[in-house]
Amino acid sequence: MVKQTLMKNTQKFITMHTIAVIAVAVIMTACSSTGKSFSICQEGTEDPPLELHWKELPETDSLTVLATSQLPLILRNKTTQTLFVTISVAGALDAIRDGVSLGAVIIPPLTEINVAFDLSQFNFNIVNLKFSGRIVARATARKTPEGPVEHLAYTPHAFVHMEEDKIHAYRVKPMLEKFGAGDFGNRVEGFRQWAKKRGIKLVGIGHFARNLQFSDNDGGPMEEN
Amino acid sequence: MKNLIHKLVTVWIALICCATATTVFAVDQQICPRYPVETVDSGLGENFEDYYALNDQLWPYWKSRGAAYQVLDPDSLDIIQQGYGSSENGCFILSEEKIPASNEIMLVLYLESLLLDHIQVRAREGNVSECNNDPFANHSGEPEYCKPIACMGIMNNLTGVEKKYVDYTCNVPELTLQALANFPSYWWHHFDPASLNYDYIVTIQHQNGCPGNTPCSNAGFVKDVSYNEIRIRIDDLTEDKYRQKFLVGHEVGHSVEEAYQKSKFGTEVYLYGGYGLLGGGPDCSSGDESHALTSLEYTSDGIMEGFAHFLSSDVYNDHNSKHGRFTYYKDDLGFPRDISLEGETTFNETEPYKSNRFAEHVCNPVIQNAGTELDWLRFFWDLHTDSSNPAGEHLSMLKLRVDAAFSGTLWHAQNGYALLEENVCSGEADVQAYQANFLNFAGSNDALGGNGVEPTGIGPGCN
Repeated sequence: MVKQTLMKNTQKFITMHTIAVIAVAVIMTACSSTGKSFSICQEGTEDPPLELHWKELPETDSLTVLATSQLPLILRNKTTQTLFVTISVAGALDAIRDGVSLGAVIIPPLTEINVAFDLSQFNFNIVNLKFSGRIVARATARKTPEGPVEHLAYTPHAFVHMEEDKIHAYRVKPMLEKFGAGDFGNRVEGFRQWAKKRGIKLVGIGHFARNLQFSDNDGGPMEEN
Repeated sequence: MKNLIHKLVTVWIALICCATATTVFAVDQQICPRYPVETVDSGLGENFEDYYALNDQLWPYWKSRGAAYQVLDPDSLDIIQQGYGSSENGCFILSEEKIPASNEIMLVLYLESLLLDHIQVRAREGNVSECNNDPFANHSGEPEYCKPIACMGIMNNLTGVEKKYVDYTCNVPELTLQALANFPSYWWHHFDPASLNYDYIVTIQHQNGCPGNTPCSNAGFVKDVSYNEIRIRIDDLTEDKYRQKFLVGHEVGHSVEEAYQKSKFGTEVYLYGGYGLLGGGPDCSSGDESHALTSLEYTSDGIMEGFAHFLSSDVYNDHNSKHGRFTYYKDDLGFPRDISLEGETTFNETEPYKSNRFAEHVCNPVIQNAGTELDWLRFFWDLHTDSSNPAGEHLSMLKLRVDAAFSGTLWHAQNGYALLEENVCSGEADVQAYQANFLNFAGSNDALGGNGVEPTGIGPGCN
């Protein structure tokens, strides 16, 4: 019995070792092609356990005209456990920074659900936007309602503005390529041209937040003694 | 005559009063840009100590230390002022005489910074190219890689003495990456750990890092440019990799090692063993990755990756806390990503990853010179945070790890531990100062806090 186990383990080890040697050879070939100063490879390639997406904006080049002010979310639980998830949405709407709590949902394992969100929930009427509004939603997941946070997820960044009485919602590519890095109404075209002439890649333009109140402590690590 | 003197005195008093009044009412503006940063690995777990946790209901705003900026007159588009914010807090002073009469400015905030006068950290897109590295130069006509990335904002509340906090007006992955690369670069170098005597650039990209544009994240020197540049790539296959501060901190950790090795040994060749997975049973596999936190690897690889995990952990945790956390970014290993930096000395059969000496307890068989990144992470954390360690330990930690790789015998897949031990036994004085703790923490004695990274079974020791 012991001998059999030993044989089995030895075979297993040899198999594993052979696979490992092949894997190493493949990786070495891949990495060595980057030259003498090849860098460190392979950190992180898997999907996240919790995902939050804009239903109408699945791709980085998504652009849609909304029929209403609804901008629903999709929440995906890719774990094998039921999760208690609270969702909030943050918006940078010209000089206003506003947050909306969408409450809590219970999501079974390996499922996805829709979560309603309406742009009118912001304390800002997007009709008045002079620059693209920047929106991101966050999901905070726990295994029990009061338990520690197990997972966090953010949506990709979404952008919105009103044009001809319609709400346009889009992801980063249209924001950059079609809507002037946020200057959808060409209000500050002179600045954009200034940046372009200087070879600057402009990825956003708008109003800074009004009256942000911070201290020197940004919550980050303190200096060590 | 008396009258004349009286008049002159009156005029002088008036002039002095005038000048004083100007001085009193002139208010320079201290402007402090902040990065809005979303991270998916903040504030997880129980009793977490990980900083930058859920500290803001909207966006956590991080200091944009050393960020490049330009102030424009909105009417003339003239550059009123340009420079870099403070490395300490990201702030800069705009003197009142430079503020336009309209009391409005356009502020250009770059995803680029200068830390401690010699380290540039920047986010870029496109393929590597030789560049003019002055962000304020005219880059029109240059390759995409050379074009600085920036966002612009209108500011018009330039009165009063209070600091003016402004948030970057852009939300793109490159902004998050800039923030996540900037802080660890600052953190490690402000201790002067590498004694660097040269300027260098850390460029971070949201781009797959492996050959053939296959997804992975990595860090390494850029070849064939006339300056020192280390490029970090964070894979763009998924939406959340660029939001993982421990992952970016890990890659910045590699860049810190590389900057130090270039400074001391003059080489850009990063030594590594080759990522050999060594079996050890299903609980010591890599979950289909080429390596992972608990996969059984040769010590050279375990040291290399474990040290980068440690550097990342050091950035975001308090040394004095028993609840330090490293959040691992590979989700397919079957245990929570939230890893306590202090391992349990008694083996935890239910949740083995919580225990010290993971490889010894869990992997079977453990061949000679094998170990796990998890054990090495805890080993380096213990060594660094032990209260008896000498001051200036950031530099000596780098010496311990990197000098071992470049001094004497060439580092290869299996000899990492032997070279490390040789270094602590006979290296520089501040490395030898670790000797007692090194031998205790490397061994397998739980009473001494052993992490079981000594791989020969003989036990660690200096002759």
